[in-house]
Amino acid sequence: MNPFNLNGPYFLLFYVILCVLMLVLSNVLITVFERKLPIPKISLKDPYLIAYLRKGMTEAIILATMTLKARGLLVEDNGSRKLKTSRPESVNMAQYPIEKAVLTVFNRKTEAEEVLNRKACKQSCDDYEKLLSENNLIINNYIYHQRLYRLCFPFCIASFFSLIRFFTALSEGRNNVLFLFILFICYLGGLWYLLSYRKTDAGLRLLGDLKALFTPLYKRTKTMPLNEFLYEHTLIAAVFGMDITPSYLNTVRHYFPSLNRDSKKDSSSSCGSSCGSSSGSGCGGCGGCGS
Amino acid sequence: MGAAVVAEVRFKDRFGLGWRPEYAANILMNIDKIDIIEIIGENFVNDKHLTNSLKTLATQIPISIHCVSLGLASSLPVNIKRIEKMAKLFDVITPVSWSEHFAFVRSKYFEIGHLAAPPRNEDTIKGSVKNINVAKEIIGSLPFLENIATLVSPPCSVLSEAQWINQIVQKSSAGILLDLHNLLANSYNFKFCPIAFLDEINLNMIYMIHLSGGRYIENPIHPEKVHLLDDHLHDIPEEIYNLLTIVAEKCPNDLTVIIERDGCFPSFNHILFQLNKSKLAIQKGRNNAHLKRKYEDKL
Repeated sequence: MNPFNLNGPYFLLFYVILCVLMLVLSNVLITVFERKLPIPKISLKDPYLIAYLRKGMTEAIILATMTLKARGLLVEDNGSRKLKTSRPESVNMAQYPIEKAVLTVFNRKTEAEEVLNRKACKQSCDDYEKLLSENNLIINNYIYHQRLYRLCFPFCIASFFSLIRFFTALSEGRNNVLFLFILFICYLGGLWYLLSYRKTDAGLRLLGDLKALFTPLYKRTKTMPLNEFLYEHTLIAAVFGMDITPSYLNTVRHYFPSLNRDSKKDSSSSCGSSCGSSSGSGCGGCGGCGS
Repeated sequence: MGAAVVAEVRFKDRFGLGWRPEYAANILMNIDKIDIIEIIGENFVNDKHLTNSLKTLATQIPISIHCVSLGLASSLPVNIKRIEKMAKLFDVITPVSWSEHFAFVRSKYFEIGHLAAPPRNEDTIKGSVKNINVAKEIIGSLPFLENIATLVSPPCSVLSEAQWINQIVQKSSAGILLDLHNLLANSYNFKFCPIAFLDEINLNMIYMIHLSGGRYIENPIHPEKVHLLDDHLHDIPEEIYNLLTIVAEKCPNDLTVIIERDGCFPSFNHILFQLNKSKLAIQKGRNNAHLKRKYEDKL
């Protein structure tokens, strides 16, 4: 059967199926290559690095701001959305460069959202970008070119069919090629998404592993007061997102209203398929048979 | 000072914790203060994502795998399917070591549900050696075997625990994971001296140490009797550090010391404090051994 002999609607259906198959093939080709990338040995002590990997600069900066507020280094200004440092020497208590940059922003009373626009805060994330990029956890030049190389064949196949059909239609005096053109643009959009997707497979695997390791802790966050278990909450927020508890989410919504954060309804939806069934139990003590 | 420096350089002892989700975040945060992590194999083997997550954990810190359900110390053949399932973890990571117990956990027909002390006789020695060799063939390396605490003296026993353990390790070449609180509990419950046990057991085969705590419980039938229960829910008692010093003094091997805590979790700083205390106890033992050698050489 010659697909070029198909009538208009049938050819469009064929073309949709072809594009979907080519996008799936593209994804498989990229995944097969990136699956060979090892998970690198990088220090995971910094929760902001994990947040940056998961969702980028905005997430890391917001998490740093919320953590500093929970630590009492940032305080609210009379019920407004403005924050300021609790003491002049607060900036000396920063544990990471991103915290120092955020605290510097709030040396004077400032709208919370302003922290996302400050150059110093953005620059404080440069090291994260560099580290993750060098370790192939997020896209870099090498990854980009490898993906581009693997998208050539699917691109050519779909382009071939669309161009032949396009010129055939024009040569027959038909100009009803708009839908074909739209489908081709959508297909290019799909390829572009695959080409430029920020995280590599290694980055996704690292995040998946962290979610699996910390799922039992995540499930306990409701029983862990924020002020007593701040590091745990920060790490969980970095790995799973700041919509971990309503109080945390509400704080983010209050100070960053333009970001429209939604809560996740239950923990399993944010774990996805990475939820572990570990009970975390040990030997349980070798108590013996009893008497 | 000179003796302390020499003793320190000679041994490459390692100090670590059992991996517990409650401490997961703090372990990551304090990874430079911990040398090794021990995971319970059964907690990871049933979930593919958790199994794979070991790859990431292994990039952060060396891992030892501790199993609780194989039941190697038995006259009955070990369940090969269980070992093969556990071996999947070894496909994912290369652990520093793996361990099980001098215990059985099932009969032919039912699962006991906890570690039970087998009779200490020739049958269980033969069975244990055979099971250890089967495990070695499937997994690819010999395990360290841990002494367990028991509230019931196993019937049909003709050997002491130390004699029985010595024979198994001699015939199988497996190493010993010495749980000092289990030793303390057994010595209290069965009225023997733990130091005498250390004199009897083959210290040359000890490679790992477990430290934990427990509590005293009343015998439900004879309330006047009190037993020491190894429940892993309490701090490490002082006697354990003293026993640790004695082991460090006499054992010629590098030791891996693991603190086990399964509940009633204190602050992580408190756990690190206990870890540091165990380092000091080991160092004291090593120093004692060094001084002893030094004076013996002079004589």
